Amino acid sequence: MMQHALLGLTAETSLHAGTGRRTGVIDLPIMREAHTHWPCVYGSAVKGALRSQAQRLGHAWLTEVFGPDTNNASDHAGALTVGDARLLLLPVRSLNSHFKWVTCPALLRRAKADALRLGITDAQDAEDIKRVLSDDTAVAPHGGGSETQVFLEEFSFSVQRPNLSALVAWLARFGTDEAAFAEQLKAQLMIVSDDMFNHLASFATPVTPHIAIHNDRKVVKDGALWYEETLPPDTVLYVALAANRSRAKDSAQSAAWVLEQALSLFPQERPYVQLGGNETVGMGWCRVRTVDSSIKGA
Amino acid sequence: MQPKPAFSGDAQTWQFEPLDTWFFRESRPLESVGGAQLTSQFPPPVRTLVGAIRTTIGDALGVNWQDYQSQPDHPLRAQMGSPTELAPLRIEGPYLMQNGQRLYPAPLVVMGKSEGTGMTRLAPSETPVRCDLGRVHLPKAAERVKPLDECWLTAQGLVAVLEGKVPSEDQMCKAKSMVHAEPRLGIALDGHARRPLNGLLYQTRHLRLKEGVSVGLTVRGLDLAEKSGQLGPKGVARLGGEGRLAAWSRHTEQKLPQVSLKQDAKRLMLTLLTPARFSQGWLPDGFEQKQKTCNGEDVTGWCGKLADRSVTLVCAVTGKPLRQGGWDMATHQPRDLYGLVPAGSCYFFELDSAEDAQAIAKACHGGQLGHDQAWGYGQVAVGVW
Repeated sequence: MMQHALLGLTAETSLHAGTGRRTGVIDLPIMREAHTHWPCVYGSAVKGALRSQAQRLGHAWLTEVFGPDTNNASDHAGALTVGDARLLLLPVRSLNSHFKWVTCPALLRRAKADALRLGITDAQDAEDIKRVLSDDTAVAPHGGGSETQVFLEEFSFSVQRPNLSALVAWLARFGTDEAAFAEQLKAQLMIVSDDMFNHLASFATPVTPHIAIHNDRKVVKDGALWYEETLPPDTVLYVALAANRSRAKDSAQSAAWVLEQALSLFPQERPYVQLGGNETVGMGWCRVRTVDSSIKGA
Repeated sequence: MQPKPAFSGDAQTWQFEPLDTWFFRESRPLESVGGAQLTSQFPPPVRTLVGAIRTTIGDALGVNWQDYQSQPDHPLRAQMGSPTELAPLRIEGPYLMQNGQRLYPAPLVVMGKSEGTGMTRLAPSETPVRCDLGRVHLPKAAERVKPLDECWLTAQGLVAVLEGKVPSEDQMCKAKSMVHAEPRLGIALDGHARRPLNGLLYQTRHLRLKEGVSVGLTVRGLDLAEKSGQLGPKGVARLGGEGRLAAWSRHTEQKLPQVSLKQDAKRLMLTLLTPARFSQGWLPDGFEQKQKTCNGEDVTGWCGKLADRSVTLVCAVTGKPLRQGGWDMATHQPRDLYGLVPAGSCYFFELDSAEDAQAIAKACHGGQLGHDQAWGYGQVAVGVW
């Protein structure tokens, strides 16, 4: 039977997974889902990052788990399937406090549906608080603060604080230090309406100008000014992994073995993966946590 | 062991929902496209879905795929067939589903002025027109209209069209309201040098289905696999190109809506609910071109039989041919590419008597025409014109 796991990814540095085409004033926009416009990292990019990590660590099972390289692609299929990295919590600057981890009911509903499909039955959503949300109302966990008015970017929200302990506990599982992350979420989680989240996810991501200089003359090269969009550090994403038994000829390795090898890429002492571009300038480093896995004890 | 589902192996609907995106590559190699991007077929080809189902059954039964591949008499073949001989399985579909309800491809006779307004339908013209096929009663609309762009109908909408009417707006589901195309750019990475490999930049167009939209397939003949008790009610499978994921679930069969034809109807319209594969291109197998004389002038028609009753095919409204090929996982080579008449195509028939019409409607509604019927190809619904 297929085995699966859900991984939580927390960006520690800015993450640029680009689409290779320009939109409007942004020369290098990030990947986004077509229908929601929410940021994401395509599964092919995530799989490439995992494969690259396995290659760097010199694992002999690379081909069996990820499939042969492009020139031998028809030998057999890879045994590991990697979904898109989907957004769960977007850090948004707040003018009157520390940044907030912002999410919305639609996004939480989808994450719960994804978790259910992977056999995780205790996932939480925010359907019961949906009715109190409007363009100028947000919800934050009870006990996480006393502000009744919070600014996110240029928008002001009146804040209601119901008991969200079950939701906070569920979301904390996506962070590497669950207890510490739960405490942070209690103070910084904010749920806004789907429409408002759509706006923030579209326009609250950092867009930074870059230049290239002539090293000898220390002046900007002609035309070398471009704007690059990134996902900010502290963005929380999740990825679904699914493993089949090995498809390689003369191999009898099980799906559980395949998934186990994939999860071994993130040992507790070094649970990191580099996603997206600009690795040499430190971008794209994410902390990885196995939220749940069908392999016992993984 | 998962609980045995409440439905029988006789007929059940398998519903597939994407975890994120799907990609069902059109029948062109990545190297052939130059600057253009490879698009996705939609709905997915039946072989892709059946492949996912067979893999799921095999995995559930703990099959060793290498043994299965090398042993022509492997016991699993009796439970779920092989890629060349599907029996004991038999498929109906695939079809789109919205909120769990089956949708039907809009018959191509239905046209509109713009965005579903001013709906009307084509019918064979009263006066034959000379064309490359001879003098034919070509399909004609009463006013200037254009085809509906990728549209599906609810069961009520299909019944309306089969009864000779046009569907209302709430019975129509446009593709753009159910699925988004998502262009993606990919590179191949040299793992050692940490740079993109030359010439390995590719563009694909993935499909992103909206919430509540899924793809369905009716499967018959699962009795033997069901007896094992190993086949669960739901799960996750790999589906289509680029190793995308789908959540599958099994449900009771969704039956085709029944249509009551007028007792005196002598003109029938057959609309394809799934693509059909005929030996003669667009013309159903067993039909031959015949010249008839009408009011002193020759008129071209095509004669053949439906449900053992003689009928005359007056004309047809067919869409662009659908090209389907695919990859044979067992032999590691591409499958033959062939052309199909697309779903939604309509054939107009004239019959000798109303009794024949009732008999054909009873026998053919939900039946199939053409080749590869076990794979679901050529399913028709019977209506009037």
